[in-house]
Amino acid sequence: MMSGSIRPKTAEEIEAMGASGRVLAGALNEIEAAVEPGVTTGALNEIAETYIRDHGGIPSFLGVPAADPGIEPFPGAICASVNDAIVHGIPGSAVLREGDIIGLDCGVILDGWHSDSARTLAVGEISPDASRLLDVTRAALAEAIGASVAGGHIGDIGAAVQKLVEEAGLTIVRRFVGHGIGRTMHESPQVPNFGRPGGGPALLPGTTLAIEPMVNVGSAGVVFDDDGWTARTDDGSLSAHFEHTVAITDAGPRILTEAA
Amino acid sequence: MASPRDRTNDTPTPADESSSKTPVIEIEGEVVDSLPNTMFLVKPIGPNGQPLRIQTGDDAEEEPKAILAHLAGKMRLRFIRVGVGDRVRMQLSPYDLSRGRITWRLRADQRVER
Repeated sequence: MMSGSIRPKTAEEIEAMGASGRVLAGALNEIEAAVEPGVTTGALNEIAETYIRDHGGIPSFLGVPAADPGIEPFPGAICASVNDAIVHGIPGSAVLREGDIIGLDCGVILDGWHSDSARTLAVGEISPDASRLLDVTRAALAEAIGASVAGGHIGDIGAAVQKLVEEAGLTIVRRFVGHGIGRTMHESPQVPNFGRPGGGPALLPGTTLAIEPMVNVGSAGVVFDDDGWTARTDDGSLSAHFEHTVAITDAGPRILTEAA
Repeated sequence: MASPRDRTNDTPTPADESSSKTPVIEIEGEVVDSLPNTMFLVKPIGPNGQPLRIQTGDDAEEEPKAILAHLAGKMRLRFIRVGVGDRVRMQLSPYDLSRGRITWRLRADQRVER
């Protein structure tokens, strides 16, 4: 359960989270370079885990407890969510094929500080619809980050995503939300990808958020695989997911999960 | 990693407000016995599905007893069927914690979320 108050970070703490985020961005770049038809999601997972540990970090997704009883903790360093998988796909023996899209979500702990980031990639040539989905979702994340300014509200972020996505005729997943992040992966506040400008908690300088629009081509409904983790669209339509860890500063939003 | 949306802190909707005219405690539980007259014995469970603990003293804790609960009127009108093993949401009166009013049956896909 995510609860408690929002705790803004000091400038030093934000630097430390940025160091964590740089390791994470490096890991994502490594796996992005490895994505091609014929590669398994398990192989991508190994690349990410090796990179993170080689750089002194800990893969934060490994062992995350499930929300429900009777489901094993998350077994991978990355979530690999192919095509209609929205988030939380378990990496394994699944082989990427030409035309797939794959959401890669990863988290790092470095010196006790978390970072969390995701991107959705094309495997080879993809359909124009899939390509447009990626463009819109990437743009929605950029809009959301642009709305993350001190003096604003959480609702501004969600409203920015909602406006762009709905005007593009795509749908927003409401079942999952972004989140505050810092000493733990999930902190207050929740960061929905929908909302009303001016709604929700105020954004104070030092607030660190994992902002992550999840966008579907068709229905916004979510179904879970038997593994208890993999969340898919209930109509089998494609889904994309982009995420950055962002610090709200007096100088504007700062993306912490970018390579140096 | 996306966080499942937790609605416990959401602004109350008008429907929620009408029931908050009299103070109620809302908890979730698992039906352990089905009794006559749409009454049920419900064992309270915590938000993560773990057994709920009640602090009875400085160090003492005990597991709460099953609560005798009836189906709320609107659930009877809609013929919502509740059986042993179902997760339900119920309201307790702060004046009598041994009895409850079942207001919601959680579907299998409505997991209790973090």
